[in-house]
Amino acid sequence: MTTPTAAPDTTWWRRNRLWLLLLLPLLLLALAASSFRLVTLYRPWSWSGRVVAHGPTGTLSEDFMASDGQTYHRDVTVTVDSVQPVRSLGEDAATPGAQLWRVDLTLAAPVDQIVEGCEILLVDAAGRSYRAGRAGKVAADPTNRFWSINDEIACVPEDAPGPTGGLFQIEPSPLERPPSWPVTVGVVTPDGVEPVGVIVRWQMPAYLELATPA
Amino acid sequence: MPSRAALATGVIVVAALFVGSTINAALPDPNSVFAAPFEHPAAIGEPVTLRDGIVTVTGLESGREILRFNEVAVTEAVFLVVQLTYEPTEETQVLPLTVLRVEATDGRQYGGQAPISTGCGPTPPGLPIACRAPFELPPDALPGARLLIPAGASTTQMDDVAVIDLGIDEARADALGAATGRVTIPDDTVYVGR
Repeated sequence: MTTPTAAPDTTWWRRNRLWLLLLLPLLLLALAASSFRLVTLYRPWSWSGRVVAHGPTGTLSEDFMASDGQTYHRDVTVTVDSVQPVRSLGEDAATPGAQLWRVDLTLAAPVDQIVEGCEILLVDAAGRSYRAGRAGKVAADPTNRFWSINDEIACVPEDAPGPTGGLFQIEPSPLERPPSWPVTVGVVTPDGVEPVGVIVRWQMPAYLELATPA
Repeated sequence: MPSRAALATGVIVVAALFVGSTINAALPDPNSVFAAPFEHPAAIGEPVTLRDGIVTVTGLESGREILRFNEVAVTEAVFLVVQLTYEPTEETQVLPLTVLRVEATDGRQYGGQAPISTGCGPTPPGLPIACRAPFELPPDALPGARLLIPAGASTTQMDDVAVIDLGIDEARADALGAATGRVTIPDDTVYVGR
C-alpha cells in the first residue's frame, strides 16, 4: 500500500492550476459567444441607449438609417425651456381627471442633417413616460365638431424641415432650416403626476433624457 | 441461425427504442415549452395585469352589423363585440385590437383586421380607456369561447397573454348568435371616468 505524498506541489489544485486559471476566461468567452441575441437583436431594437443630460440642455449624437437605407449622422442639441400645466393648448385640452402640460423646447442641429420624425415624452419620478400626441386629449371647446388630432408631432419647422427621408432618396429642404428653432407640444398625464424629465428620441436605440428646468 | 440470446437482445433493443421514441413523441418539445406564452386566465370583469398594461373585459354585445366613422360592415355570420378597458402601466401605448383572438373550444381562432377601422388608444399610463373589439365569427364558435389578449405583437409569442373566459353557455350563445341589430363603435377614444 502506498501512502500519497502530502507535498503541496503535487495536490490536485496545483497540478491543474493552468486549467483552473483558464476556467474564468473560458467562461467569459462562452458568455460572450452566447450574447448574440442581446447584441444584434435586443439592444438595437429597444430604447437601450439612454443619454442623460443632467440638466435642461443636452446633445444627442447618433448614427441612424434613413428611409433610403443609407446611414447618416446627426447631432441635435435640445434645451427644455419650460414645462408648465395649462388648461388648453391650441384646440386641445385634457380629458377630465388628467392634466395637459405645455412643453417648450429649442432644438439646434446642422442644417444638412435629417432631424424630422421625433417623439417627445414627459417622464415622472416612477419612470413612467407620457408621449406627446393625441393620447388623453379632447377638444378644448366641446361644441367644436371639427376637432381632430394627429398622433404625429412636428419637431422641425413646417416650411423649412431640412432634408427629409423620401421613399427611396433624401429630399432637400425647400427652405434652409434655421440653425435652431422652437418646438412646442402638449402632453397629457393623469392628475397628480409631476414631470421630472423630458425625453426626445428619433430612432432606437439612443434617446436623450433631459431634466425639467427648475 | 442467430442464437436465442441474440434474438432476445434484438427484441429488447427494438422494444427499448419503441418505448423511448414514444416517450419522446409524447413529451413537449423543449423549444415550444421555452417559447410558450405566459397565460393569465381570467373571467369577465377581472382585471388582468400584463407586462405593460392592465386589461379588463367588461361585457359582450353582438349583432349583424357594426358601425364606426360612418362605415357599416354587414355579416352573414355574427359580430361578437367585446367591451374592454385598457390602461398602460409604463408608457403611452395603443392596444392593437388586430392582435386579439377569439378562440372557439375546438381551437378555431377569429380576429385580425376587422372590416371597418377599429382602435384602442393611444392612452397614457394611468388613464384607462374603454374600447370595443369586433370579431366576425359563425354562431357555433360562441359556446365556451375564450378571448386572447397578448401584451406583445401576437398571441403565440413568448410574452404575457390574457386568456379570458367569456362565460358563454349554450343559452347565451343562442341569444348572442340570434342578435340581428347594429353595434355602434364610438369614433373617439372613450376615457373611463376616474
